[in-house]
Amino acid sequence: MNWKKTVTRPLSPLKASSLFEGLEVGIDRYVGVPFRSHLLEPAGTGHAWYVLEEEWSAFVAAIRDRAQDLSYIEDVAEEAERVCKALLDVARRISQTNHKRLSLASLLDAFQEYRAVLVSYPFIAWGFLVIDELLSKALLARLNSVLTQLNRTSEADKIAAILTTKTGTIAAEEEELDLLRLKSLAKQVDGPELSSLLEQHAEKYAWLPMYDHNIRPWSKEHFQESMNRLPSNPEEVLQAKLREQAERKETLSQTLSSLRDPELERLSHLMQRFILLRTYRTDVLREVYYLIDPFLSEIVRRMGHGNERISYLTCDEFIEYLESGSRLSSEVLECRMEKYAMLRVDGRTQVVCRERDIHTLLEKHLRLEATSEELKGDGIFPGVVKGRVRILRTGHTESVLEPGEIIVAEMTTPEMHEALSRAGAIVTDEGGITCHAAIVSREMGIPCVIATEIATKVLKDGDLVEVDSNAGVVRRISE
Amino acid sequence: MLQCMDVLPLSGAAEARADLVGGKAHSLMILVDAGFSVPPGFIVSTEAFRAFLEYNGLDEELRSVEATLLSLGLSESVATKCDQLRKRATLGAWPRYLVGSIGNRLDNLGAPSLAVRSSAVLEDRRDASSAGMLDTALSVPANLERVLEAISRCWASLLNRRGIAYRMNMSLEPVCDVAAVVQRMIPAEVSGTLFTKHPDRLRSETMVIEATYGLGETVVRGLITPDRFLIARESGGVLETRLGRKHLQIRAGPEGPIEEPLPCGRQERLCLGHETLAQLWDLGLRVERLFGSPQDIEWSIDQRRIWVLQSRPLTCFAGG
Repeated sequence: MNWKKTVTRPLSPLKASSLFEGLEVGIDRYVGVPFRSHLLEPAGTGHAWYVLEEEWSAFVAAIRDRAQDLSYIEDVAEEAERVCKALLDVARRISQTNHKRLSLASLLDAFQEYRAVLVSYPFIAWGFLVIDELLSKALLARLNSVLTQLNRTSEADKIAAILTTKTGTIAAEEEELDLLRLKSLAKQVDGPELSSLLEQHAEKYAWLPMYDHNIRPWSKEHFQESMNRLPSNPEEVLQAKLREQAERKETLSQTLSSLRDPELERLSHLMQRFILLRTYRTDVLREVYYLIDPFLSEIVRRMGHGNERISYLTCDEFIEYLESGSRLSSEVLECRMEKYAMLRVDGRTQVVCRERDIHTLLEKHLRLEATSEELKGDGIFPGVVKGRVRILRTGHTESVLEPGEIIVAEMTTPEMHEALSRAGAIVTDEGGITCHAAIVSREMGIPCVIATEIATKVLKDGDLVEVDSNAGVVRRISE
Repeated sequence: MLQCMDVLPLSGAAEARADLVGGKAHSLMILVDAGFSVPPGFIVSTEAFRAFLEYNGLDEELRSVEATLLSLGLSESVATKCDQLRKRATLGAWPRYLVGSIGNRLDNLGAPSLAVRSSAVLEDRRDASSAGMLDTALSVPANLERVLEAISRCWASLLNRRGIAYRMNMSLEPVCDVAAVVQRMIPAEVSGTLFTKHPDRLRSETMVIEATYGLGETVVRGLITPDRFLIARESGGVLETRLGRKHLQIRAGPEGPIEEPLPCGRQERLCLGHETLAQLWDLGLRVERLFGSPQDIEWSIDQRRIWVLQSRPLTCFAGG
């Protein structure tokens, strides 16, 4: 199987499992090319998400085909708005019921209802990744041909920037504007009234930070503090921001009318719509998590767990409990809170958490092709060095390093300086030839290969390797 | 006439004493004087730094730590002492008159968000970059308290073990004076580094630009693999471009930098076009001419304007 890394981001088992389902069933419904297999690998503070290369290409091709016709993209925008609304509706409805008094069967009904709507979401999320690019290509192509006709090609970059700059406002910006309004009001109203206005503000925007389940929403105190930190001339700042916004809109509409091309205008409107939708759809998910978490807390409470565990269960595990009463032990959930990897194949989602099990799973699925590897990267300070691998994790400060060991790290940090000064060579996953590791390597005269992509994943402490930075290659050698 | 030496404007390098502003600030002043776009700001001088230490009773202790470091090296006990002093400096109180003058400058600057960078008096030597050894605070909200806190944090970073060890390794003074540069935070769309000369001797006729979306921290720290452009120094022609792996970006948030994944569509796209590359090439040559040696430049682009955030001499070339 050929895994392709897509995005790396913080992702809880609950969020991931609900997306898996939508990526399989939901996307199949929309374009007939389901993502059946997924793998989440712990990476930094989040997870790297892998899908199968062939499923990814089939998906991209399917959308590309349909998007030849611009009206398809318009339909997707409409569908996105519909799905977002339906999601908010169901989450609001559930949040208004009195969960405490519901039987398990009624909780199950509500959960299934939520899940049935959520299944449509991943299509707009992943579909956007592809459509975004198609749309900007189409827009730029059209712009070029219009400008060529008008003999104004020298303005291409400038106009492209105008057409692709957001003119509307997103929720986070609305919040800031509202808070500025509130601050300018603060001088005119009395304490209790201000406090109740802040309360309303908090109710409206508490969900903003919730990119996943189990994230603490913003409180009234939080907004109070951010209000205090706003400049002391809120009225002026507010006016300036509104002016800026209006100017951006004005520039866009003037630019479009000077070009007089209905097709370009259509593309530009669609582009603007997508720019806003891109944030709107993730905002909706945040608000949904905010609304639905108390409901999920109630289920988790009945399982006998604290509500900080919500996000460590998968969708299927919620259903299993509601259907049959089977529940996960505290040990398993605690283990997941430490670290986990996830695999979805054949319609089943598996969460693996013990270090050894994670290793075995990743070894089995990701590393098969990488066992006889020769890692390629960019060589920095020239030299050929042999030595034993020492993996350094980010944040590592203690340097119990044998002189001459080969440091292998995702990236180097100033904290590692002492260790680096004793190293025989440096190998990193990421970085350019101007980055910290490269500068240090040249300064200290230590051979270094950067941007190998996977060195920390395929090499283990104690492996004997040869670092050839003239060729930008790291080889494992036999003992 | 008595002139205030605690807080200084970010310009007028010719009249400024380098020992008052530190290396980073001094090179920024030179850039401002020469008309480069440098985010507006001001300098909190080493005189203010010493006043701050004195006010918190840290100056004497620092001197004795320095003496111990020089005679006995970085032993565990002196390192522990450094940790304590660092904590005390981070939480240090500010003399009233400094609060007043920094507050005034801040109001005049009128920036919604700030970047606070350390500027040490010995930094930027040609064979020792001290890269990343002192702290920088990005996206600091324009609130006097928060800014003061950021400055004391930057100053306290002088007492980081890693920095002390580095300076002793490189035969630099273990402890030195540090100023702070407070500047408007540029909410960059694209940022990166520019080496006016490729560090590989064989390619010294080329310039290297590495860039990504968002703030340049991801490039500088090597958190991602940036897009790379090799430019002919002579002609400005683009000799080579390589798409990086820009899986995440750091962007200027209202309460500090935010690290987030970069949408797939952008990951697969080069973040700089030919027009911008030509501007950067021209900028690189002009900065190099100004300082008279190959430079390592950090830059950011916001609303199509290129800002110079830092320039320092390039340290060792490979193969030397």
